Amino acid sequence: MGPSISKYAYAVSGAHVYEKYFFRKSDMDKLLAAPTYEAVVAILQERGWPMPEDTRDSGKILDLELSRAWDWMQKSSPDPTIFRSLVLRNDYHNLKAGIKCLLSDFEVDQQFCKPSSIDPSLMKEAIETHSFDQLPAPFNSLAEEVYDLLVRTGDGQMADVLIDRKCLEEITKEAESSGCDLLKEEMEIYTATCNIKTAFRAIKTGKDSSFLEKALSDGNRTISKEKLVACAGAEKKMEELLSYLSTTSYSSGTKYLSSSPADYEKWVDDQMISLLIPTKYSPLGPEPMIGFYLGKEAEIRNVRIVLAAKQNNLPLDVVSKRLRRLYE
Amino acid sequence: MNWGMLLALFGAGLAVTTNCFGSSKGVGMVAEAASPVITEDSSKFGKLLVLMLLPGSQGLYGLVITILSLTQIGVLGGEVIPNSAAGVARGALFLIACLPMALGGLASALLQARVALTGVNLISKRPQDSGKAVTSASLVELYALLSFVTSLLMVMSINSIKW
Repeated sequence: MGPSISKYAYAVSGAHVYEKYFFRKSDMDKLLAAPTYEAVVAILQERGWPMPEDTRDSGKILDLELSRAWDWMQKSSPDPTIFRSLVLRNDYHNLKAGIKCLLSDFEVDQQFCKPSSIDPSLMKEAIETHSFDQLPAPFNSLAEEVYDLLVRTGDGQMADVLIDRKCLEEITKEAESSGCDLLKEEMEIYTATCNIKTAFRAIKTGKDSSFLEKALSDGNRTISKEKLVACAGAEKKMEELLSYLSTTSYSSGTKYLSSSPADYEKWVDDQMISLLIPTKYSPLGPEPMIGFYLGKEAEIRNVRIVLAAKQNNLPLDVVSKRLRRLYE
Repeated sequence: MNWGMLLALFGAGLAVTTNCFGSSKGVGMVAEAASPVITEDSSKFGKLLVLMLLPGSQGLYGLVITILSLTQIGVLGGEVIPNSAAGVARGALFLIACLPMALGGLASALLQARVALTGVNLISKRPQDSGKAVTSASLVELYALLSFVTSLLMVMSINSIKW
């Protein structure tokens, strides 16, 4: 159980003030219309986004801005631990990237994502010195297992499977323990759609049901792991999978799975934002804070798309189709 | 032990305690919510002040009922409640008379604070709509007033009941 909702008065009001500076549709149009990457960066700077020394690194710009929102949320919330499930995937990403970089002789923290619940410097030190017991459970045992696996077999795919599955299971567990229904729903959509994506790709690449058994996470309420695994064992695997998905609450996204993975990702992100809208104006409780953070993430995702498009001179119509629904 | 006096004092104390609890919690919540808005734009303080004050009125209503009760039961004047069966009944009547204010005031202060909180968010985004925010929060005040008037009439009329 989290703190009483009345303790969120300051945090929620602060989030509403902060949200006034979120990008709206018209702001995204301005970003799209900017002639160059540098012009987009200048607009971001004008809007008060913190800038790294090297503004050519778009990843750093976005990480700084999202971390700023996360840090504010952590400072303002009466119980910041409730929101841990929102950044757990970054912790697991950092663990995976760190171990792989170590074994490939790259800088361990080169691919780290921010924000995260584990201090990146602690993660870096634990990986560099192989002292995984410095990390909190279940990262310590998982890191040991994955490191051993990679050193012994070099099987990067199995390492990914182990980490990704654990990540989804921990996100579900963490969201359940938060006691916040909105967070549970959001994380259910996130983890279930990740599992659907894994099942789809596995079946498309001819993997068998034993692979799916290992790769899919447990604990989803809206999809059945057993049924997804059974699809991989059926004669007409893909037909079985699509037919099963059409009976779930994710049926409307099934068509995007077959057409394009990017469209499916957009559909998932839009679904997650739609779920936030009814609680956007709640005066109290953790829900508007969750909306604030996921809304910021959606904005960052859109800015990432625009920056990448400007760097690669992509046509505007292609880019605008990829833009996510904003939290407005 | 004068049970009648004890019951009457309990009622009088309850009226002010529950209302002050509701008002302090309500004003505290609205003031907390207002601070990020004021930090961003201090010119909105005036508009927000009305919203911050609104949930505070119940505490004052409770105090009036308490003082009035004390003037009727012999603490600040009036006839002292006798130590008898009739006195116990009279004390119980004072307790009952204070309940509308004690409960109605508490509930309305907390609910009014919630409406005022949404008003703070409205003023933060659209300061020109501050009148709407204040009007919405004021609607809840009506029910605090109804509780106040009910308790007031009851407290004032108990001593005129013939036993």
